[in-house]
Formats: sequence, structure tokens, C-alpha cells
Amino acid sequence: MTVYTSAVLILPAAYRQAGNDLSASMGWQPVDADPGTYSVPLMTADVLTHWGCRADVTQTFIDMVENPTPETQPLVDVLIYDFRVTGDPHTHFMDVITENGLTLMPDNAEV
Amino acid sequence: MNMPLVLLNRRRRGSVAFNPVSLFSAGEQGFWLEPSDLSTMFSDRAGTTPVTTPGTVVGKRLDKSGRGNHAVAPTDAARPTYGIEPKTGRRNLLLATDTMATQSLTVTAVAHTLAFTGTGTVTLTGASIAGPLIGTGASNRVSLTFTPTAASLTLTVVGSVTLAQLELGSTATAYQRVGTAFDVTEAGVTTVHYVQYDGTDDSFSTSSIDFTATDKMSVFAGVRKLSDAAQGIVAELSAIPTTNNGTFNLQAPSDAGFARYRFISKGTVSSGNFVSGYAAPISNVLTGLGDISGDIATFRINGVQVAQSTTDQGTGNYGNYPLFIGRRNNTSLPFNGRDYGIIIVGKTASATEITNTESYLAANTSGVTL
Repeated sequence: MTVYTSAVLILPAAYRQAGNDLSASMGWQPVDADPGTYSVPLMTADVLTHWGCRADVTQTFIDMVENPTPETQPLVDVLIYDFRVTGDPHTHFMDVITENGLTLMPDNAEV
Repeated sequence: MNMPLVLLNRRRRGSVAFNPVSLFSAGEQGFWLEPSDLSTMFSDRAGTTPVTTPGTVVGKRLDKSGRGNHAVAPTDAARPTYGIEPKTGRRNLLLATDTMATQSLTVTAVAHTLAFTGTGTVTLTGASIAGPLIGTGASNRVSLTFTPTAASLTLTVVGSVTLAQLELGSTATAYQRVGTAFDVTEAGVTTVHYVQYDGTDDSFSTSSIDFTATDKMSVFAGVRKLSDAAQGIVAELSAIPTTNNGTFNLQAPSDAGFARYRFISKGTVSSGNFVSGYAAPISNVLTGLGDISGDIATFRINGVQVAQSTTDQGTGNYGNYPLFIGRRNNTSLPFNGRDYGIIIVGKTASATEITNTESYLAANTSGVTL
């Protein structure tokens, strides 16, 4: 049985494409998928500065982040990540962005 | 020769269980997602690894309508989670309850009851220092009722504590086994199945569904809305319904911070009403009935009509667009909640079909009784 852990991953906006490219190279998203893995825009003081995602991951993924290869090291260096066993993934995501001074970009109030 | 006639009459009088596939028997376009049918759910987006256990991510769901409108998560990170719980809902607030270990959780300032069997001891700290609760034997169930402050409560276990349960209220009720937050069962109670969206970036979409032959739509969903904090999309036809014509959507909630649902139908003009008074967390069976030329958008909740808009919907039929589940265009308005089944058919369902479909979904949705 696969055991999943909730992961919150956040990259500076300048690294979003690199993050999505790495994700695609590992088969976690189609190449050039829009919006891709990092699909949640995050703001610092009303300015878009980061992109985030929340996912259920395996221990293999956690090991990869915590023991990066030379190829992934630059991305991990700027990656904000947090792993938590929880049944409330939304709270997990909100906790992590708040701890890092980030806020959700408001969705347009469209119907 | 009388016997065959008797048998035939019995068949005629006998009831036949409703199968939602009958909604599509005249070739109607549509979509049916059924989380209780694990043969239709796969953890990978390619659809090769079946979902077998609660807590597993869901990358692809097969459409049971027969129309081949399968739903796929846009990325691995966007995959929702499969779960099970008793039809009556989850009461036990603990985790890994068959053999309890020390754990902490956030509690509210209302009466709670802790119960377990075994010879061990549970000591409370943090939000309450009531107790400790000391076990008296493997076959004896002991309990303790206390009212904590609203804070983090730690339950420290020493020795053998089995079949543990912490619940709201002053009475120890029947034991619910909790493995993980997504794996809850109770002996003697029907288990229902769901797919949970994280309210952050979980969603599915289909290939384009060609609804251009009809301007009638029936949308059914068994849902649990976990939060009212931000607007969420349960199901929506087309990526940009604000500019595309021939669309519909089902929203939960419809407005950030409000205890609302909404169903919208649109030819060239949007029409639909929100309904208030449904504060999260709450489970409901939602039905939206759209009729573009008839200028009718009817909204039913738990089998009862709660709103009907007769505002002009403009002209045309519904479009040939992808259907999005859980987010708008896989990018925004993430739904924080669960679906226990979604059925969409491009026609006006008959009164009998509506009743049968709502009853079907209610039977599969935690906490809903029509």
C-alpha cells in the first residue's frame, strides 16, 4: 500500500518554468502543460512573487527533495517545501504560505 | 401453462433498482463519475494503476455514461484523493484508532467524550487536563466526558489502548474505526465513497463534450462542502464560461465567505440563483436543470426545489467544450470538498428521473437523507 504525505511546494516566480520543466521530465505533468504543476499564484504585498502547489507525495519524493542531485540542487535551494501527514490539505497549504509571508492571489469574482 | 404467466406477472410487479446509465439510453451526451466503482478510478493520469485503497490519489476517472468522457487530472500534483466513510458521517476525531498511539488534535470548547477498551491509560494535556482515563480490561469500554478549551489537545497513551474514540457530545457512541483521515468505517453502517479536492489545486477535466445538439441540461452531484472561505467550482462546462456561450456551472460556495451554492445556465446570457443557508461543512445532493430556450434555471437541493430563475438566457445550445471538475479551467476557484458522484446529461430529466437520480446520489452521499 502506497503511503502519501501532503506536500506544499512553492517556487519564486522566476523559477516556475524550471519547476514545471522538471516536473514534466519526471512524468508528473505533460510537457508545456498550462498551468503545470506550480499553478497557484502567490503574492507578497500584492505583487505576484511565487507559484505553489499542494500534492500528495510518496517517501521517494520526499527523499528526492531532501537529498537533491546536483541537477536538482539549484531548484531545491530556492524551493519552499513542507511535508505533513494530514487530512486537511487546504489548511496545510494556507499554513505554509502564511508562514512565508505569502497570500493567495484573489480570484476574480466571476460567475 | 399457467406458471409462465405467473412468473411474468411477478416480473412486471417487481421493482428494478435505478441505474443512472438509463439517463443516457436515448443516446444523450453526458457524463457520470462514480467513486464507489473502483474499476473506474486510477491513481495515475494514464489510467493504468487502479485505485484500491483509501487515501490514494486519483489521476483518472472513467465516465460510466457510456459516452467516453473520462476525467483526467491535469498534473500529478492536481490529483484529488479517494476516501471512504460511514453513510452517517465521521464522528471519531482520532486517527489509527484500532490501536491508539499518542496524538494531538485541535478541539473546540464543547463537550467531548473519549472512550476505549484495553488496560492502558490516556492522559490529556493542553486543551484539557481531565482524567486520566484508565482502562479496565480488553473487553471493557471506559469513557470520560470533558469540555476542553478551544486549543490543541494531546492524548498521551501508555499501555494497550484499543478501539479508541473521541467524539463531540456527552455520550460514547458506537465505535468508528479510523485508519487515516480518508479511511473511516463503522460496523453495521453502509460505507460511502468519495473523491476529495484540496481547495488548492486539485481538479479534473474531460475532452470536449459535444452538447451542441441540445439546449437542455440536467446536472446532479452529491457533494460535501468543507469550507465557505473561497468560491469553488464543482463542475463547469468550458474554460472561460464568462465569455463562452452555451455553458453551465455548479458552484460550492458561490461567493467567498458565504454559506451558498449556485447553479448557472447560459445561452448567450447567464441565468441562475445562489441559495443561502448551507454553511460548511455540509453534505448535499445538488441538482441544476438548465433550459436555454425556456429561460429556466432550476436549482434543487436534497430533492427540493430551492430556486428557479426565469431570466433570459439568450439563444443557442450548449457548447462543445471540456468539462472541468474541481476548478475553473484547472487554474482557479478550487473546490474545497468532496464529490460522492456527479451525473450530467444533456436533456431535461423527467420528474421520475430527477427523483431517482437524487435518491441514488443521496444513498451514496454521507449525511444526506431525502
